[in-house]
Amino acid sequence: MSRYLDDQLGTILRRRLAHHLSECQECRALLASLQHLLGVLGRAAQAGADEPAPPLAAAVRARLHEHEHEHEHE
Amino acid sequence: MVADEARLLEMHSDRVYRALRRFGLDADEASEVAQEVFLRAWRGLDRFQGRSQLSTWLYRIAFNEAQRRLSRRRPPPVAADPDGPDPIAAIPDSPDRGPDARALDRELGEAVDAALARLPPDLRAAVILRDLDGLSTDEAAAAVGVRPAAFKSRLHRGRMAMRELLTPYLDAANA
Repeated sequence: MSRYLDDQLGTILRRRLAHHLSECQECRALLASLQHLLGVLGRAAQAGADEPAPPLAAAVRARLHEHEHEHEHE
Repeated sequence: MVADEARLLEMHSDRVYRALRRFGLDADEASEVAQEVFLRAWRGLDRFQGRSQLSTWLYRIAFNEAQRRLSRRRPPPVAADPDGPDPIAAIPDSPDRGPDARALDRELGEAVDAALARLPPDLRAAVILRDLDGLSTDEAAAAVGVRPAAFKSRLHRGRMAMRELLTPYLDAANA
């Protein structure tokens, strides 16, 4: 079902699953809930991206400069 | 540090930090691990031929270190109370992201993080890399060091577990 959602099934398997879905309410409900889940996760990812992260690049640059400085004095 | 390399660091640093936070590290630990990962990456930049390979390597080192740290801890706290207030049901569909919408999105993020914390680490990493960080299946598989077929299996099991844990929220969002 995940591979169906990710469009990673071959044509034949996709058709077979689509046919099964047309007849099986339980699997349609599962597919719908997984689609909702992906929507919720996408929204959570977007919300997380809006939160500020610490200035990591600046911290790493500072540590690299310290490291280079130490080597210069060795 | 030249401008291209600085940009490379900045491009990846926030994503790796957020992935570490979602994986279960607190803010200080995530920052510490992310810095170590980028220092190692900086010293080994010559070995990388493309951005994809570098980003996969960064995630791999970061998650290995995160898993090592988490394995020394007690089990994480249990996820959100399904009988409690439902933040997702109240989230507006409008693209207008005012203060209320942002607060609700934060609550949604917390519910997702609490559910992620209950997954085994291999399933958690699969969901984070593919569904939250948006890596391709091949990139995510390389980041956790397994073949794509094995990764797809993990991802499906992870999604099914997340679906189970977030059922009250998904039902409310669907109502």
